[in-house]
Amino acid sequence: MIISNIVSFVLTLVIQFFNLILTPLNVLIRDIIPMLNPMLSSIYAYVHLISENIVWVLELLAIPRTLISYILLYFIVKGGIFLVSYIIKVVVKWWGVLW
Amino acid sequence: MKNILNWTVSSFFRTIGRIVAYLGIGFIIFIIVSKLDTKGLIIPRLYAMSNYDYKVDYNYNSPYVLNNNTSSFFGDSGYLEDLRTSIQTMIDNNLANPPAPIFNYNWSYFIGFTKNDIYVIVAQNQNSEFYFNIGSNLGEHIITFYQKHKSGVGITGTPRKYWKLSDYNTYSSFKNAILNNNGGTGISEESPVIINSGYTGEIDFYNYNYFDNNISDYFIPYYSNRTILSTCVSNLCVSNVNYRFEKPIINGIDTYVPSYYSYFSGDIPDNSTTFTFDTLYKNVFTINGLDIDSSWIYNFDFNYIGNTPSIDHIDYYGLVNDNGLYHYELINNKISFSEEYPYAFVCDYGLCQFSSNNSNIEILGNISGYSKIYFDIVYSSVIHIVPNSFTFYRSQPFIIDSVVNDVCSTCLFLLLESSGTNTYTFSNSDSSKPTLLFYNNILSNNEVYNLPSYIDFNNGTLYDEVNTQDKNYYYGVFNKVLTDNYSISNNFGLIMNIYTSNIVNENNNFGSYQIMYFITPNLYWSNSTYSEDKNIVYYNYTNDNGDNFSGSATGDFLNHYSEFNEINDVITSLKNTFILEGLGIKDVLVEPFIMLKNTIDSSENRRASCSSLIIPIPFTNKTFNLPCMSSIYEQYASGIITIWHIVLWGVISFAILVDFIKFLMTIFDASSEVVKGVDYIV
Repeated sequence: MIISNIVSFVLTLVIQFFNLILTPLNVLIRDIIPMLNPMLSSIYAYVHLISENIVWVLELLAIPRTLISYILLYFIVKGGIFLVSYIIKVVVKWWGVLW
Repeated sequence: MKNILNWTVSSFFRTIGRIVAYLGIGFIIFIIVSKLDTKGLIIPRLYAMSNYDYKVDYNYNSPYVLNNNTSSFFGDSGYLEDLRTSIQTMIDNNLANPPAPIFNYNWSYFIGFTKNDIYVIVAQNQNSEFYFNIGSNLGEHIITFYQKHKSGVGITGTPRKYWKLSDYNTYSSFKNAILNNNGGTGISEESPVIINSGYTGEIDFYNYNYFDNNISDYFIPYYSNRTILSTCVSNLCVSNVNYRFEKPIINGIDTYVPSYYSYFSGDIPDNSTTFTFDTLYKNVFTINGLDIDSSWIYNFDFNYIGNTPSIDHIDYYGLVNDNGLYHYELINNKISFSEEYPYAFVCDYGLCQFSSNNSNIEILGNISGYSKIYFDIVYSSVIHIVPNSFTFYRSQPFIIDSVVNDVCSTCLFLLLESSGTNTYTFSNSDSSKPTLLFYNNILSNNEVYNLPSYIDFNNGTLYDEVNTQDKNYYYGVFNKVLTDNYSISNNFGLIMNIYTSNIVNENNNFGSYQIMYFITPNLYWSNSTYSEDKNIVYYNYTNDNGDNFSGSATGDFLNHYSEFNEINDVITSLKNTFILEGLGIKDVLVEPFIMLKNTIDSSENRRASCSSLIIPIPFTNKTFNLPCMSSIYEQYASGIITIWHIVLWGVISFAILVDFIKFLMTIFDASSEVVKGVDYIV
């Protein structure tokens, strides 16, 4: 439950981030090159079709959803550690250069 | 510091350059793909479905039009729309300024689309019934207009005019010829031929050899969601023909196969509401979705005046996928009201009721493979149906007894039609009972609907506050109320309790019902078990003021996408939901994350549930149903599954542990490539 909540929270952040960044691009495409809309919509429908049936595949392979959460959480933690270490390195580096 | 600045500036421009280059390449690819119409190749079914049901701009697939400036034909400034409005103006003028001789008749027109051309036929309709058939005869593909005179008087009107849009350079002449009732360049006329004596008069017909020989013709609607040219003169009504037509010629068999039957009566009063009028008039009923089930019961009733109506039979057509192109085929016409079928069609005291009370009979035959069904009720005599009196009932699928929060015991799924005009015509006859509005599974960028709100149906305004006491308007709070019983992943909808004694459900009961609006982008083609939301519902009720409302609501949700920016007018908002805006690159990229989020969501209410995988078998109308396996595993192999889970968890945990140790070593190893790369970048 906790793992799922954490992963959900992170995914929500990612989704919001994508929405924030890409919404102007959506509007741009819609207004300037509307002929792409049907194609993009179809691609979306295709992806959505896949995402709709992914649960069926999971059930077929008898993969628990908590396991998916577990794997996702691992990559989130791993990425988080990398990000933190990277930020520390950048800060230290800049500190050394500037001061 | 200088190095940093150098790096920053160069990186910036390098990044900008890459982005521009990528966008440029992407743009070129998109253009090429769009030109190649790869969309239809990727998802032919979805693409083909989009050929129906809404704006004609997306509808046409004719090589002729694609090669000849589509915009000249379609759209608000196209030939077809111009012709339509011209004829409408002509009729309006006729109504306002009778009796100009030419306008003493009702007019109708038909626009047929084939693969290689567009055909426009304009006809006058006198005091008669008017219908047409499409098919082939002796190797020729023809359309035949019939005109059956009630009075028994022969036709004296102007011959029909027809015109091919490939002769578009003669359009002005054609239009003038129609409006002025004379000839013109490129205008063809054909006089009627009396073929026999009809029910109350002669039947005259006009055969037009319009169609592309040796090619399966597909006909698609022109503005199928619009009601055009429905008007009446002196109690004589006629409606234009703008529906879709079907039935390709199969294997060149020279058989005359009526594929569409549009019945025109001259006796329907002119105070019909548009939608009901149109539906009622044509007697064609559409049921969308893959959830058609032969076990369902379809009943209907209506009021009539004058002679007692009788129905000859009911035809119904199913939508067939023919290599990505869709056409309708006649499924069955065995609903013929004979004793061998347990149907009843009884007309008495001004009320006709059709009922089929045995849920196990094959009323509709095997129609599970069709995604859309058209009902075509063929009357054997002229009928006089009271406007707004037609009610179509369906059984089981619209009843759900288990709704959380105990907000309703019987739920009626009512869907928005594309125009959204049926969304605000309800009244609240019991103000002591709160009517709740719920919003469910809202898309993340539509968080505006997480606000508590209520709707004042007097003026259609949605207020973002909650008032829970004794209001004459509907109010409510948005809440997540969908349960596993009918949760729809990635889709959202409104649930509204309507407390009125005048809403009729499929069992002809009265009471308070929950009305559910589902706004379901891209659920259109889903084989989900929750496909009820794609159906059509016919309703008929009277509000507190005695105003009668009747009509139907259909779902057409493909590619509809909501972009609500503010809450100030729920009607506008709901209408905007159905404006085709398309789904952009953002939605494509976000969809996998949404999928992941829904897959692992801790809340069972929100978690995506498994639905059977239904795979259509090629070249047949059958489907292959692959059920969800978890219950089967648990039933037959629970021990093995437990072991499998243990092994799975062990392997994954071990792999993660190993990977994590390696990762830690990488992080703290200054000589590693990762750290070197990081150092280089920094």
